[in-house]
Amino acid sequence: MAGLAAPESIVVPDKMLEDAGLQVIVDEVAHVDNIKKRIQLSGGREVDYDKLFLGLGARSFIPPIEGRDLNGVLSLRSAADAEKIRTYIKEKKPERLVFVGAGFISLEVASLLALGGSSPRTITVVELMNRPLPLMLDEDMAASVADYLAQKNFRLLTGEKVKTILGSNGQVTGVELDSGTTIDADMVFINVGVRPNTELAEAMGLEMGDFGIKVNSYQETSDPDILAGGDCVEKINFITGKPEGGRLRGPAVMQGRLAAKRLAGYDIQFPGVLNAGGCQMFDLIVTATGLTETDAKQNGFEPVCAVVDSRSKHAMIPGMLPWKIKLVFDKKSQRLIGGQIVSHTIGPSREIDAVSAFILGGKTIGELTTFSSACNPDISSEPSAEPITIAAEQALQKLKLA
Amino acid sequence: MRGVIMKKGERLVIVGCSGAGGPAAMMAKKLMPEVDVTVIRKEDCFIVR
Repeated sequence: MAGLAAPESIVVPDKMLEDAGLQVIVDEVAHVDNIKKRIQLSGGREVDYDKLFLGLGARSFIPPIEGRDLNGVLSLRSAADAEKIRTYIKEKKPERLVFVGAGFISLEVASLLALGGSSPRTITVVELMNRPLPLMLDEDMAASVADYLAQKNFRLLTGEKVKTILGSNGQVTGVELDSGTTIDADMVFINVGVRPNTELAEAMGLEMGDFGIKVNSYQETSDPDILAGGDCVEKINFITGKPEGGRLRGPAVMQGRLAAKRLAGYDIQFPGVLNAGGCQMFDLIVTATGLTETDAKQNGFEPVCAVVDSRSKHAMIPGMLPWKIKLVFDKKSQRLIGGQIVSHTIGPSREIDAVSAFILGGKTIGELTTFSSACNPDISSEPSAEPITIAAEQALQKLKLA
Repeated sequence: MRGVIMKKGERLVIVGCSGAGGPAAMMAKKLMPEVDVTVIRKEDCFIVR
C-alpha cells in the first residue's frame, strides 16, 4: 500500500512450493463430496483426498450503505485491492478522503495517503464508537491517539455513522452522516471488518459456529477427515473461553501449522486467541493484547487497571521518547488479562509480546511486581521505572485500598 | 486422537494458500515427506507476511 514493496516481493512464487515437493493447482473448488472424499474443480478436474484442510480465509465486509458501489469507494484486503487504491490515487488524484471506521487498517492507510499528493490531502475519519482503535484501546489510551491524529490534521468524527455515500454520474462526491452532516469527498475508504468465507464448508455440511467453521483445539472439524484453520474458523478467546472471530494473521499461521502437526501425530492444542496486534500511524505505534478494560467489564470481570508513562531510553540519554502502557488485571484471580501500548518508537511497542506471554502463563499482579526486564540506557527505561513492574505495583496498591 | 495420523502414499489436499493454508502445506510436507500434499487455490498468488 505504501509502495515500498512490489506485489511480486510479497507473494511466495509457485517455485518455492513446488521445490518443497508440493503440487499446486490454481483453480476454484466448485464442490466437495465428503462421502467419496472427492473435490470437483471449476475447470472440471477432480481431485481425491484422504485428508482435507480448509484455509478459506475471509473477505471485507462492506455494510449495505446506499452508494457503496460508486467509483471511488474502496476497501483493502488483498494485494489487488492495494493496487486498485494506488491506481485510483494516481488517476483521480483525490484530495478529500473520508475513511469509514477508525480501526487499524483505516488509520494506517489514512496515514500513508495523507503524506502523498502535491498538496496536503484532507483526511476525515468517521467512527461509530467513541474513540479511534476501539477494539485495541480503552478511552484513556485512545485519547492520546486522537490527540496525535489531530496534530496531523486528521478530522476524527467519533460516535458518528455514515448514512449514505453521495455521488454524481457514478462517481463518489461525499458522505452523509446520520447526524445530518455532509462531508465532501472524492475518495471513500471503508474498512469496518471482515466476514469468514464459509460457503463451501456449509455446502459440505460441516458444523458451523456463530463466527465460522467450528473446530476443536486440534483444528478438526465435525468431519473426521477435514481440518480447518485461519480466518474461516471460529476461535475461542484464551481469557474468556467464549467463541469469537479472532481473524488475525498470527493465529491463522499457527493454526495451519498445528493442523499439519496433528496429521503427523503430534498432540498439541491451540490455546485460544489473545487478539494481539499492532499498527503504525506516521511514527506512532499502537500494540495491544488480551482484553481491554471495556472488554473485561463486558465479559463479567472486575478489572483492576494501571496506566504508566515510561521512557524509550534512560531519562538522561538524548533522543528519549515517551511511551505509555496500560495493563488490565482481573481483581478476583489477580491475573493479567490485557495490555495496551502507545509509543513513538518501535522498541517499547514490542513489550506487548511480554504482556502476551504473561497472560498465557497466568501471571498475577504479585508475580509481576518482581519482573526484571533487560535494561540498558540506550534501549529501555531505568530498571526502577520498568513500566510493567510499575503497573503491577500500582495495581497491587489499588487492591490494598479496595 | 481420532486416528488422524497420515500414512505413506496418502493425499492431503489443502484448499486455500494464504495465512493458514500456506503454513499448513509447508509444515505438512516437512513433517510428512512421504505424504502427497496438494494445494488448491483460486488466486494467482498469495500474500505472505
